[in-house]
Amino acid sequence: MLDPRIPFKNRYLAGILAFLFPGAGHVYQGRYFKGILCGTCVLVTFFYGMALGNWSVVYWKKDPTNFLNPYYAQVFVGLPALPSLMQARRYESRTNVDEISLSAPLNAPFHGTLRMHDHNFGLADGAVTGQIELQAGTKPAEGRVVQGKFTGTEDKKEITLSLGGTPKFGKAVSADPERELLSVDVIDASDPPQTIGRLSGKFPRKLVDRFEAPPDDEYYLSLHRTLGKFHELAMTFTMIAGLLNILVILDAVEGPAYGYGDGSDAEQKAAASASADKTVKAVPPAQPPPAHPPIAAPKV
Amino acid sequence: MQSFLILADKTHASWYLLPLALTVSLVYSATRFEYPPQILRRSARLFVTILVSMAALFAVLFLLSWNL
Repeated sequence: MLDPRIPFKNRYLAGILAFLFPGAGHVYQGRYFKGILCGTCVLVTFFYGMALGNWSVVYWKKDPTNFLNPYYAQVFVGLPALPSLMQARRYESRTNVDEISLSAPLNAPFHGTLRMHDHNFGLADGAVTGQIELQAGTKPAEGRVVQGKFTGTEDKKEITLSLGGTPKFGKAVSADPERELLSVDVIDASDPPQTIGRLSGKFPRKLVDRFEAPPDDEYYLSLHRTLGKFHELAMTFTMIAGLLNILVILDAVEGPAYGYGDGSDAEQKAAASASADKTVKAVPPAQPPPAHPPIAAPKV
Repeated sequence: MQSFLILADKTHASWYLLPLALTVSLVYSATRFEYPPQILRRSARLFVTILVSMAALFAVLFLLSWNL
């Protein structure tokens, strides 16, 4: 039975709001203290867990062999966990495969390796770090799909490379914070340009392409290697946040289990004795008996 | 982000029990009671109960694993 002292308003709407955003149902009902308290606790736990897991522990990946998918608990955090469903669709889409074209100009930090076919240009094989710029090529029909340059260092030596040809990029959508550039040609200044080497490496992935996206197997294993037990800890934080929000949703719909403090027997007794004390204290002190008026002497 | 992870790596995982127990006790108590002072009082009690229980469990496991 609902406690009439609690302003439930439309309690089902409150439940939906509480699911979508932890604490919002209580705020809608005007129960601000509980709304802010529960919302803060659930969201801090959830996002702290995500940060602990390198923002890669909340995702939906269908696995018929695993009935204990962590997402079953995480999803109850509501809106903060729902992008996983959309990202899972994007991840499993047929278009999310290795690409050989450039959808938008690229200008990003880059690290990787350089392999030279021709060593007459004063460049050696090795690790490179710097900035990569790529844009659509002028003659894609002739294999010049992209053109651009790389500026950076190789073994502390400043280098600039002209890039061209047909690049090969890894998947666009994945939890890995870095996207792979599997290969792009290093070209010389002749016309038509000749391929003198090959550059491969990684550059930062767009946030919209990695947030709550499922990880590739390779990245999943590397995450375990990097984080160790903190991966499980991060998963635990995010799952507990979701499970706590179930309690918050129920509280918004049905009210608190014990209401205004009539919970345990001991507490009831304590409350009863406290109220009894107050009652005793509230009794006004005894008044002295009224003085009898002097008895008048009978008139003779 | 990296520094955050390094910090996490240097912290023993047991310390993560404290914030977790705190949030669990706060939210659990908030869904049991309506009166704010009572929520805080009961959550403090639950927080201490969780910590004492975990410490007792730790002591039992520590003794059982003595000299293993």
